Amino acid sequence: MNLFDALCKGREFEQALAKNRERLYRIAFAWSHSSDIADDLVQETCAKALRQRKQLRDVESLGPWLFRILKNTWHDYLRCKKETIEYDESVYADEQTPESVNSRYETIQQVRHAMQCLPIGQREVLTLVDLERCSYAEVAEILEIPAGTVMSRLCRARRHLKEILLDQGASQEGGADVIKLRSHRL
Amino acid sequence: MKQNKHFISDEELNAFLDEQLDANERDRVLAAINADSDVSQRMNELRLLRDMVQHAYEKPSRRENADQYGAVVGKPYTRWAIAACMVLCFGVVLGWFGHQGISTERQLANLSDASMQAKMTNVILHLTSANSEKINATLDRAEQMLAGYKAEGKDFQLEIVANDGGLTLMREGVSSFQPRIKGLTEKYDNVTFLACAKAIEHLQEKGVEVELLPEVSIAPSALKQIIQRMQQDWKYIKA
Repeated sequence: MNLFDALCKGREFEQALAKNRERLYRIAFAWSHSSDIADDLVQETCAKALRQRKQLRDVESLGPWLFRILKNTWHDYLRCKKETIEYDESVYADEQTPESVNSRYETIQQVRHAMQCLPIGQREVLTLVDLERCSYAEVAEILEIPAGTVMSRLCRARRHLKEILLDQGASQEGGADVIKLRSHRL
Repeated sequence: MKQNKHFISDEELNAFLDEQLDANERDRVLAAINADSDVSQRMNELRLLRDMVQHAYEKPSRRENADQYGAVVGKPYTRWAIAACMVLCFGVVLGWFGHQGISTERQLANLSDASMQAKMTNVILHLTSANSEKINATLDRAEQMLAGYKAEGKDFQLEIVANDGGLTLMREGVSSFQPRIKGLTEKYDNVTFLACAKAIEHLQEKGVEVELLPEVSIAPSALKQIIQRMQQDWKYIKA
């Protein structure tokens, strides 16, 4: 490969990386529920990807490769924090904020709060499947767990999430969207 | 024990939802959904759950300017520097409860520059202070924005909404800015002055008689007005 090809390839990689930043951020946010932490995770993930780009054999698999780096970065972070993340509780506080007066935001907050209650492993699987539409095989590859574990973890995650939301719906006013879980017909 | 021929496990239903089944398995689940209302109900719940999750993270909260690619590849990235850029995006939350501390002049100066560019953004200005210097600066900059857009012949809407001390600007017999407000509303038909009805009620409960300038309209709630405008992609500025 001559110098020109190498430069073009490097540029192509950086562009592909930039295109994936939004996807990475959304998953990082859904895992951490903190814009600060999510931003740091994505920054670190991209920095690692740039350093390790020679390890990527096939550009087609850039997405799963990036998510695996993100997962490792996230787990490193959790280890540093001894798995006790200091979430920004104000995001979920009950006090009225400009956002909370709007029912749309209430629903979003309820779901985010419920997601935050899920064990980290369940949250990781659920977000990759629901937000990234990853196949079970891709999730298994990204999280480095067996496909059977993906299925069982996903199943438990959704069951658990539903229970939390129903509990919230029963205990709070404005839980109409959540209550639809019992009766909603599509 | 003979198992119900329509029995579908949760794992199978999840896999069906996520399009992870082969054709035969899919047919079997579909048949069960059509034949058994309980299976159908479980499927609907899973779909709704997935929709809710997707909806909850459709627009994750973020720090403004945090997605600059350059930050990754080169310079050391500082949280505080980026946090400083969040003012416009999250100003409504900070401003509403803080009621001070955000530099109006700087924000408005930036917007004034922006008004010279092609990008058009309607603006809602939130005034909570009775400080005459602050009110003056706010009106100065508002006028600059209005003039800038008018010179370019572009559509632009500006709302100035007041509550708390900011009501001073809009009260008959109290405000010393009536000539300016009158002049602005006469010169520009795209500026609106709004007083918060709740703030007025609050004053009236204290026995204060409140009469507004004729150029001023009433918003049921400054808070709701701001949220509504932000949902319509207006720029929020805390004065």
